[in-house]
Amino acid sequence: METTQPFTVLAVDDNPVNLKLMESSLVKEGYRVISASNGPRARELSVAEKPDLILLDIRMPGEDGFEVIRFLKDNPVTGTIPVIFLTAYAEINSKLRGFDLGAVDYITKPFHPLEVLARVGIHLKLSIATNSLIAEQARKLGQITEAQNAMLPLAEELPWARFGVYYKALEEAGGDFYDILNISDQITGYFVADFSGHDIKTSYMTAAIKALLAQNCSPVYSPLESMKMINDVLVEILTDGKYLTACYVWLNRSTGKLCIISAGHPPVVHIPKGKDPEVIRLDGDILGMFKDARFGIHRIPVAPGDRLFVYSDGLVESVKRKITWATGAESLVEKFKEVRDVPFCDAPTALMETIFDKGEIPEDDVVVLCVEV
Amino acid sequence: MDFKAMASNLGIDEADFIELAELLVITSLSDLAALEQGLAQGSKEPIAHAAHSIKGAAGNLGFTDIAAIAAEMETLVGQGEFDSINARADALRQGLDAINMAMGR
Repeated sequence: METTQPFTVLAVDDNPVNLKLMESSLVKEGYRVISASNGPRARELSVAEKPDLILLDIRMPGEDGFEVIRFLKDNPVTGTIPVIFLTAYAEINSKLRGFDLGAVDYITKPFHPLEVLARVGIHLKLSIATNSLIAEQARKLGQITEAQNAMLPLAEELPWARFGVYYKALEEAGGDFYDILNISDQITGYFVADFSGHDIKTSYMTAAIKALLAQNCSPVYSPLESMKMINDVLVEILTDGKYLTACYVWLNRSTGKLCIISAGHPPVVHIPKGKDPEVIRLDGDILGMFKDARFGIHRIPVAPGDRLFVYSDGLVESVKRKITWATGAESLVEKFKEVRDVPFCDAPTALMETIFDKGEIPEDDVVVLCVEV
Repeated sequence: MDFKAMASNLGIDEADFIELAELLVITSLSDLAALEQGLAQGSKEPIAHAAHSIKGAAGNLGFTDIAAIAAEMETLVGQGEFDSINARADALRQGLDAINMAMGR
């Protein structure tokens, strides 16, 4: 809402006298007034002009004021515009129904122009205050998004790690996280995690996980030891039943050794060069819940050109289609085949496009990592 | 009829008020025609709507006599007292004429 622009008020009444009276009083006080003499016109103008406030007569022939409010409140473009309705003094049911439908106030008829001005003024002030509060909160959430994104390493910044990534958070503070760890010249760690919930608290946790990974994923610890140490700290600091599922892929490119640690996370898909994908299922406890957690562990030899897909459950799960990742991964084997010839850096995005139709939005946060040996 | 006082009561200019009074007469005569048509057809809905419309507009501008007559008509519709409404329609028309006269028309 620009303060330098005059506020626009939409006046709706089927009687031209009432319209004119509201208009002349409001214009005199510096408002811009648009008017409608019936419901359909009111709806049309609300959407086209997005007025700052609407004065709406309830009793109109044809489409009445209630139907107009219902439309306004159901429409995202007009839903937040304050509506003051005009109703006869005795009509208590109209007043209650108007409030019930989302109106902010009412003015009884016959109305006095000065009362109209006073109520318009107060509700515009309230609306400005609410809007600036929302804008401020959105700005703060934007900062969190920025900070969180800054914690996610970009593939082009770490060419030696030979990975591609697709990352999409549904809300400002996403619940998925990944990190790349340069353990030594030959050894790289790839970590993908999914927090329970995706709220602001979660996003602060990603900073903690990043620090824990940096501290505990070093050449002196085995991958399992690293995860156990991280788990022990998380058990101490995570509260309210918060936990995360995670997958840690430890890859030594010079020896061709690969180790996967799974903490209740969807299976890694391994695609040996020129062969069909293998789904590596591992049982394992989640991270941050149990002091003596047992994680799934799998060691395999790998060769240059082999690929690994590590992802969060948002890729394979669907509440709508009742698919859990236990069954989802199997059904996706064919999809992994389809992106076999796509360069590894583009493979995650290509995979997303293969799985989700254009315009279809995943139901959860999604991270997909493709690593090439 | 003191338009100046009525305008000042609403917090608007006399010129604006006269414009509104003029609009009230035109609109209400049109409502009245719809009302009389409703009476002729014995149809309640157009009568109720016209009476309600006149009541609101006249009341807003401070023409309390006209608003009162229209309010009575609105009540009478519910009771099906078409003859009484007819009699009041004449009174209402006279009231609107009086506004016209006061404006020098």
